[in-house]
Amino acid sequence: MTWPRRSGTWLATRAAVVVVFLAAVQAGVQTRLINPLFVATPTTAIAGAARGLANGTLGGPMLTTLYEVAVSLVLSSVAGLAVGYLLWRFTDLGRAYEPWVAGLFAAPLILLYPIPLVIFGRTTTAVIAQATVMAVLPVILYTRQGLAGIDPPLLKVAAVYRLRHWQALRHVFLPAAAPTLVTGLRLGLIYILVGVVSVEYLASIGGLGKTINFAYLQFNMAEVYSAVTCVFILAAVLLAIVGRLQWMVRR
Amino acid sequence: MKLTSTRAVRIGTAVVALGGWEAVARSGLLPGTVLPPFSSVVAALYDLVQQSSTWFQFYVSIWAIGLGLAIGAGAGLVVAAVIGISASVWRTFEPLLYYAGSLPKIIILPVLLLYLGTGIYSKVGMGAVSAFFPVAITTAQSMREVKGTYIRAARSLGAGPLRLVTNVYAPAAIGPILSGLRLGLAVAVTGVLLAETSVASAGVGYQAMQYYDNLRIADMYALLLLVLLAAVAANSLLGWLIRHVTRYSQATERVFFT
Repeated sequence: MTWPRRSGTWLATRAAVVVVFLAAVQAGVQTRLINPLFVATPTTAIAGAARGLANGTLGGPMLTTLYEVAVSLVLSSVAGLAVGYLLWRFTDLGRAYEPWVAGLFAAPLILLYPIPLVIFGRTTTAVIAQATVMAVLPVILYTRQGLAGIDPPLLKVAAVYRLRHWQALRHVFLPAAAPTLVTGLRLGLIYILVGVVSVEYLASIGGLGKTINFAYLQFNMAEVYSAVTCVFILAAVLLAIVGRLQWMVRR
Repeated sequence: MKLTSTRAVRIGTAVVALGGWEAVARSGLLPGTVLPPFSSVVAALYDLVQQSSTWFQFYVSIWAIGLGLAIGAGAGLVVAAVIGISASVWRTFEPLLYYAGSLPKIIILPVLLLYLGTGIYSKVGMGAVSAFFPVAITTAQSMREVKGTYIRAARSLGAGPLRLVTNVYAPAAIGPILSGLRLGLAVAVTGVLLAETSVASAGVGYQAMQYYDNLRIADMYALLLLVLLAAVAANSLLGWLIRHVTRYSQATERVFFT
């Protein structure tokens, strides 16, 4: 069924699938099979995105969104790695809190977005708070899981070399747990993207989400699709960076 | 011994957190519109569960979630059956599905509102789009992991593609498929309720925003608490069901989609 091909060929096949899909939408809109009032042609959307990024009408919101994502990512990674480490180091705490963290992670926390709005007002801080709370949970869970899943012989190696705890952490434990840690960070990034764009859209604050909501309220569908294209681009770049990181630590 | 220390930590944390909440709220450091005392949230919760209007909003949301999940998961299963059967097709589509599944679904809400209206069907649409990806990805992925010997055995006995899907892949992959449905339910709940907080005239999300707009913050906290409890309960119920159905299978449960 499968035959050996280079990864470049896979990439080309995938690109072809995307191009065919976009071409079908383009044809559908131009032949009015798809209502042109509701759906902009992909060429319009992409040209609009390029124009908006160049003149700043979309570039500005994109930078705001990027700023919110970046701050949330730093906060949730630092807090998540620290708490995950503590839950691993102090097993009693880990046993007590891990089911709670897992339970919260399974809950639709994005629905709590009115709470940061109430606390911080309609500011980018509220967006960052919501995204950070959502993203910190997978980082905690995967950090603890990664550290707890280290091969016991590695723990013995660290003991044999009489490494201090911090030395062992830096040279043995963290490298050994790195793949799981990065999986947690990748999950965190996905939750941040969802949290940031959703709160921006729903509360009309900040960056691209707000742009999409405003454009929709003005029935400016070309602008909606251009802004959606920008969200695609932003998410693709960030996910590719984390995917690259994941690939590096797996080697 | 260990169990008691775990329990002590938990009870201690709960007492400190709730007591701290109550103390900060009562101290007047924060206005009551930001942080109502825990006791008044509990009182609001007690009132809410006695109002039939609360349960009507739940009924509307559950209906939208159920219909959305059915449509999204149904489409996900069909797509998975088509692309999961061949390794090449799967390898082509997997990253695309992963990527599309990771995007915030809220960005298509304007399109759904235009096509399906501001009533319940745009919420059903959000639920369906949300649920589609985890179901399609987990199902197709688990089909790729079905042992080749089973498939060759069925083929040599003359099974066509349809028989392969219904008689070999489906029973072998039932555990991961149910896990995919569980994830699908979780994201459908999110999609539907978020859409309800945007443009809607009924549903739990709509009700929460009504409380927010009228500054009935204690009522809003109580309703959100009720929603989270219901979501966690539904999730653990499905988890229990999955363990029950797959209690004889050797495969370990894995989370593919995130």
